Amino acid sequence: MKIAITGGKGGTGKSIVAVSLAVEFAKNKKTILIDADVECPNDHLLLSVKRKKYCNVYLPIPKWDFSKCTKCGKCAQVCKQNAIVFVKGKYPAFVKDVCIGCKACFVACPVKAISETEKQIGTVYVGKNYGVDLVTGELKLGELASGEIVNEVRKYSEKISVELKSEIMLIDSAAGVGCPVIASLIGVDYIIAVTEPTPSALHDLKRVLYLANHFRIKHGIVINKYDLEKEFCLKIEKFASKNKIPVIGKIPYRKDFVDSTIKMKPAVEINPEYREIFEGIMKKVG
Amino acid sequence: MKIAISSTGGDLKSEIDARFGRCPYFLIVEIEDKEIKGIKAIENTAAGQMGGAGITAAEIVANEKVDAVITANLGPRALSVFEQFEIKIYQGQGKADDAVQKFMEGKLTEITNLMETGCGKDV
Repeated sequence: MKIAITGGKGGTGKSIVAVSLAVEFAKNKKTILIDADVECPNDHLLLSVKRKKYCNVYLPIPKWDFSKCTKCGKCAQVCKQNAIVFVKGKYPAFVKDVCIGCKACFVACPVKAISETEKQIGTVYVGKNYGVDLVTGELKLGELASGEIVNEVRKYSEKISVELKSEIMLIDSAAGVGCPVIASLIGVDYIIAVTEPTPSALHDLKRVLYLANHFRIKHGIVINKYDLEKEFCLKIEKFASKNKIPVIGKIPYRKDFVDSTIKMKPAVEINPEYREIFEGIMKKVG
Repeated sequence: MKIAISSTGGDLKSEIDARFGRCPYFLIVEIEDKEIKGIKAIENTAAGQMGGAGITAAEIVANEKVDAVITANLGPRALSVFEQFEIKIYQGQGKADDAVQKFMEGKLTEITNLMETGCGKDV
């Protein structure tokens, strides 16, 4: 079963929930956790995992054979990223940084002067701790293609999960609703939306639930830090019931969760009291 | 030879604009025998772009068939384009006509990597 943990708003506790949930799942089933927040992955810290590099992630980019190039400028014409600059009489200039690897220029060149080479855009790491197999994707700083990296991390994770015979796959997504988040959500069986009792969080939650509905993926809400604002928590619960979305867990605001990030130990290991909450979430997800 | 200068205004009395990609004008100056033979001002239509202004500005300037560019500061993408087109970049500040004079006397420093553009230093 594939479960994505998202939420829209940053800081609601996606990673904390993902990590403790993974530890609980792992007690009964082989569990793999994918850290798909490739811009700022943290799960290896929350789980105190010693990461090992698995592979680099590459994007195809063009390479010109100027001996064949006729300076027609067609490659620059088709480049939507403006990565190729053409001036009459000169060979095209290529700005590697902004290329997204679409290969339109390869197709457009009438004399086959463009061949494929690659640039590194990220790295995939693996590790294990607390019974959880962790796969982390990390964007190379300065690159644009976070969504592409998440796609690649998920492809590698499929392979790894088959090798490990994982039964449960948890995907910890980034904040927001952009490409890297969408790439984390597609093809999963269940989306856990982690939120908190604030107007900003509810606003962002609605945006992420739009995605869940668009992709027709079963989903439920976890209200983290619920007792910080009991009135607003009620508002969220009313919103959920009005829209027939199950609230599958409510986590209290406790210093233990802060400690878990400082001590780099899952919350359920710091205080087994919380196991019940995560077991409850597990059961409701099915 | 022809040179382009990133400028805040449309004539040689204008100040050089500190930013290449988003300056309002480029001054295209024709130099022959250490004398200014002609000057025209073109609008930098890349200035208002959301992103990639440097690359488009480099294209606009390169289309003027210049041999060199005088500017205070430019980013790595524009620099990369000029390097590939074999157009040299020189660092200049203050009034455009002073910079052209210094250029003709060979007193301007060439920018070949970003450390020389003053990024992080006082420009």
